[in-house]
Amino acid sequence: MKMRDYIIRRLFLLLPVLLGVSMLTFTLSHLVGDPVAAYVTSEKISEERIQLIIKAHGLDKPIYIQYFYYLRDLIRGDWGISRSDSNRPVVESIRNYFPATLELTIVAMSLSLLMGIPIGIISATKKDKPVDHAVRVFALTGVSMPIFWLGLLLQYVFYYQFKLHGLPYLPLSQRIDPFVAIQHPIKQLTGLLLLDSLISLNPYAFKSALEHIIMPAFCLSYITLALIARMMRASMLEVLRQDYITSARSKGLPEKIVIYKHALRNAMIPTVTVAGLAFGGLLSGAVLTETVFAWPGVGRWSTQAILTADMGGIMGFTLLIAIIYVSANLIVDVLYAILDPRIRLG
Amino acid sequence: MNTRKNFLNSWIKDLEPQWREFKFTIYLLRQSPLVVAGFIIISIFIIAAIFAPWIAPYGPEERIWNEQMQSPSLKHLFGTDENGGDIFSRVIWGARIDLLIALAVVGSAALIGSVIGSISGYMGGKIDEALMRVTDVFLAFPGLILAMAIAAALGRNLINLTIALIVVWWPSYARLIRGVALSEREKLYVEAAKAIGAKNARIVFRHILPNVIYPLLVNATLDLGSVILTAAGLSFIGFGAGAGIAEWGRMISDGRNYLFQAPWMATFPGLAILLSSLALNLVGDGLRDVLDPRLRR
Repeated sequence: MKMRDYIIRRLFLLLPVLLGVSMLTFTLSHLVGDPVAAYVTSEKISEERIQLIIKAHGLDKPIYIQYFYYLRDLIRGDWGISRSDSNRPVVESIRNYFPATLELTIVAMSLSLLMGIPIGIISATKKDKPVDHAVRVFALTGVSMPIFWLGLLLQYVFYYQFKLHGLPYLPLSQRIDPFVAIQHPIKQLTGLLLLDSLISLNPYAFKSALEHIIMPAFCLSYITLALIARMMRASMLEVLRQDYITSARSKGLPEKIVIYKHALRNAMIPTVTVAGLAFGGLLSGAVLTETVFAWPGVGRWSTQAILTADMGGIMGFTLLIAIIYVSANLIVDVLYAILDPRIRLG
Repeated sequence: MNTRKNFLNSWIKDLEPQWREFKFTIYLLRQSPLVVAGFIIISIFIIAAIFAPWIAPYGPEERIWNEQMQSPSLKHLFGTDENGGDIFSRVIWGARIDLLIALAVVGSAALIGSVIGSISGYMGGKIDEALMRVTDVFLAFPGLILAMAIAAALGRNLINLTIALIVVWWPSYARLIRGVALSEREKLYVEAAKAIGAKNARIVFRHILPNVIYPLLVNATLDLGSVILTAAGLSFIGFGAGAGIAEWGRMISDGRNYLFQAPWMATFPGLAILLSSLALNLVGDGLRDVLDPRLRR
């Protein structure tokens, strides 16, 4: 099968999953009493308006018909109203908050790859040496770390203690220093502050945004970083046992070339998969990290929505994450097939 | 009487290889210092949870007058919170809540998942297809986020948090068990059992399910750790435990308000989460290495 057919087939298989996902969010939003609530902007609403809303979304019809109305609205881009976000349409809230989450996730993922891969390689090449033991302990704490707690510890040390002792400290929360944002306003292009400030040649804003993202991004990356380091170590050890590595060594190639050119390529394959699958973990982690660092992303929006029983916001967020998550898994599968020609596309 | 004795004897004889296997497994587990360490740590937590009323110096919601926000000392090993609650006692009482949630979630999820998974795998066909599409939908969400949505719909308290986590966790067990059942179903011994006239139920429970126990055990141990983490995380962002309840995630979220004045308030419950989850992961990893015949000997 050709790559194109494979991708098309996988996309096709995505449809039932997405339908199921929408059924689940539909059920959940109908589980909490009044489905009208997801579309209502204030408690003081006229009876007429309520009738209009009921009519527009088919809420007077039987439940299975309502689902089709719901699906139609979703496809049209009418995801309801987020009461916690000053009654904005959910889609608009997502547009406002998503770039911040995307930026945080991208930086966190880059950190985990840039640090995790070398750490894994070093650990594998220095197997059973002290470095290796240290890495293994670190990798083990990764899966058991409550990152919201790690975030608080980071704040305590790098903000509070550093400031207390007159050291250069990292900002406590938010995406950018509000004064910097006023003095050197950033042109909104992509919504990613680092990128926007770089494109518009705004070094002050860039510096502030960079300082602000370090702590939350590291906090968020911790689990993925540990996972990647662990996977990289395991797959590197596996690859280094292969015959072709022995033959590369025996023809006198320098160890550096053997490891970084011959072994690394094959050892990367499982790591890429783990990194892709860890994306879901990053999205979950973003909810916790954004809460700790008051990071204005979709995660913080969702927790606000929950605390104010804003069903429109909660279900919108849940749908968004599910769509991103299944797409990410699809991309991983395709990447996997491209990277490893041994995988037959069946 | 005699036949019963014979039956018992033959039963014990039947089990002897399993018993030897069990003893050998324990022996292998004891070879790894990390597994032993994990086992000791988690045992301490379990003992603390069971005997909390005798071990903890103060009650879970007891307030000590005039001793608010004290730093750790001999009197209050982990310090006190803004209400004068003893953090050390509260961490011990918290073990009850958090371990109980983890046990309830993993136990129920494993049970539901095993039943659905073995039906799915053994029956195959349309039933299998339908059940697996259902699990697909649940697995299309990161766990924490689906649990958030469910708990939000049900209402915020500890019981609903537990229910939400069970709903999130069962599909992975159904998948695991289905995989094993699917591969075992094709094996010769199942065919042999069928040939001598064994019923479906007997084949599933007597022949197929025993093969599932080890992977189930490994998964359950590892999952206990992740459930503790997820439950505490949800509690931290405002689900689950209400104000004043000695639950680890809630304690951290309370401690966050006094992070700079009283850092011990958030530190110690967090350490409890980290250690208990780490210990379960160590034991789970060790179990997997020992129980996977390809990795041992």
